[in-house]
Amino acid sequence: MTACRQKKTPRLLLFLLLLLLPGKPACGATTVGVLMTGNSPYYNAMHDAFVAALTNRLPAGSTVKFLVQRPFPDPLAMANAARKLAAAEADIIVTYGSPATIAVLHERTGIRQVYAGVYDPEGIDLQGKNITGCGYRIPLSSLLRYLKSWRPLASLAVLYSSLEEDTVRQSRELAEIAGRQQITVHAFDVRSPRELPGPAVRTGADACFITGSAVIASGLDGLLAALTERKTPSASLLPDTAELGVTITLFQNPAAQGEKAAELAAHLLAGSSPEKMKPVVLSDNELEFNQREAQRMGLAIPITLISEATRVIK
Amino acid sequence: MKGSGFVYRLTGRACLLLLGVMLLTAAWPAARCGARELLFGIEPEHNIFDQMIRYRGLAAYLSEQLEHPVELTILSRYGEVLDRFRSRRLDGAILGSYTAVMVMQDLHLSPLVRVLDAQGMASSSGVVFVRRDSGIRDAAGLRGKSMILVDPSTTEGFLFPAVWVQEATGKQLEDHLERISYAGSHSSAVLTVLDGRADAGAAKKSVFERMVATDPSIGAELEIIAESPLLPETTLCVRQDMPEAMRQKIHRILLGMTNSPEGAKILKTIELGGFINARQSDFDLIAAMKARVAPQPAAP
Repeated sequence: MTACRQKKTPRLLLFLLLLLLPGKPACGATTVGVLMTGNSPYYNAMHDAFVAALTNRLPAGSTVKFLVQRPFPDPLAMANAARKLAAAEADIIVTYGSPATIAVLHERTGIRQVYAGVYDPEGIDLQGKNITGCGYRIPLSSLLRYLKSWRPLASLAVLYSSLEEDTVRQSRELAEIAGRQQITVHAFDVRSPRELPGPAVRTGADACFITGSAVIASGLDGLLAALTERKTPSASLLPDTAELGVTITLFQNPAAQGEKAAELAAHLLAGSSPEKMKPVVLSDNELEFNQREAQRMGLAIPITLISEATRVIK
Repeated sequence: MKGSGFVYRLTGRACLLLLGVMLLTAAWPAARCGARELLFGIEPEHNIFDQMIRYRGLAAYLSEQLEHPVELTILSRYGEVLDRFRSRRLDGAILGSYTAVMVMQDLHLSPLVRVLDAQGMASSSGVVFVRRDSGIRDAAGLRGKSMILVDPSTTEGFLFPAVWVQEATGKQLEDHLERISYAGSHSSAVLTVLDGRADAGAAKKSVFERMVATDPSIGAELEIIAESPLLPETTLCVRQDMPEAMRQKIHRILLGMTNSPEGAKILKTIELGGFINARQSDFDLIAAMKARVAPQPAAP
């Protein structure tokens, strides 16, 4: 009897939660469900560009309602947020990042889905008749190459989060490249921003590589302060928009992905089938070099980085 | 009144004479001032400081052998090459092959000698390359993609890819691609594609191979999808109104450098293999390629 009540309580809570969610707007309005992997500045920038571009693409006078969910990238939280959007009967669901994309795909909502900000989408199975989207690919070897232009690189600390599938892939890919160059990799799994700066900064590694994790992005300031103190350069594949001090970043412009996602979403809303819209891997990456941070750490400034960088932070 | 008219006529004749003298001396500056230095321009190829240091040694050797001062100056772009030759402030220039063809056609300059690199090569190829994971295999695959070129005045870094795309697709480079940008150097074009900052790139094959030799991972990540035939490389072009004696003297000194101990020492220091005779016909292929593509775009 007690066991039965315990089983029913979560379902009842979920039912009440669904009742509290705003329902589908009146006829004529379009509802776009949005699921973001955490509250990362990268995905927020992507979403801002998406909203602006979609609004421009829809016929004048169209009403669009965005239901945005930014759960912590824990699989359970992601699945719950995906169910909420399904219950709200969104016309389409837009997902940012690999964990959010996979969560909605696994829910089999039947709602058409557009993804953006997925690292190397061809590297995971994003198949389905209702899904299309855009992702990006960063040559991690390039980041390694630039890090090596500073100092001999014998060891590298790599931070990833096992909660975020794409960061695990990035960590493995980097370990493989580094292994071929006789660089020792110390990989650290970060499941909460509270774990930062953590043991990664104490390894004495020659440089630190930060994967595109929303979890790590939440605790980036503390991590970077500790790295700077130990004069350890850092590299990341997410832009350091707040200029917290990542020494070098190679990234795909989030606005370009938001705009591409809006283009795909507009086609879906106009009646196109996702199956007919081939997923896109965007290129045209950008290279950013934080000269100010490099100087603070007393690093020699490689002329190649200054001449190659799309942007130099001085 | 008569006296006054005579003075006017005399003054008019003196002015005409003076004007004639001025025109004659302007025709060949050395005639105006025997000690005037020979001024040669250099088109930047990679690192201009490195290039200036290298060629400075050559200028010093030429000055000594000619017993006439030789100076060098860096030319920033093709427009400046034209301006400085037209204003007669340059006697010759060490130019890349595409610029050499343009000055031969536009300013009627003559090719005098071609530069041999440290490996003894006076020719090079242009290559078009992509990342191996890009899925691009040919010119058709570049449709709607981005490409990094070197400079609009280079054969390997502009003219060759433009002709290659046009022959394969029937379209101009700018109509076939989504975005074209210029890196300013061959090595920078290679790095741009490596980083995924552009889908494809074009550069000099010798620079591409040098980078791969230094870092073999570059060869593992990039793939060459097109290669040009061998094309002449750096060439010294001189004004056609340079006195024949001077032209012959320069030609003889440069070609003889490998046979003189002092010349060979200079060549080793500046990492050059020597010089060979240059003929107008060496540039026929480039002239034909130039004729195939649309009007020359303005330098960025």
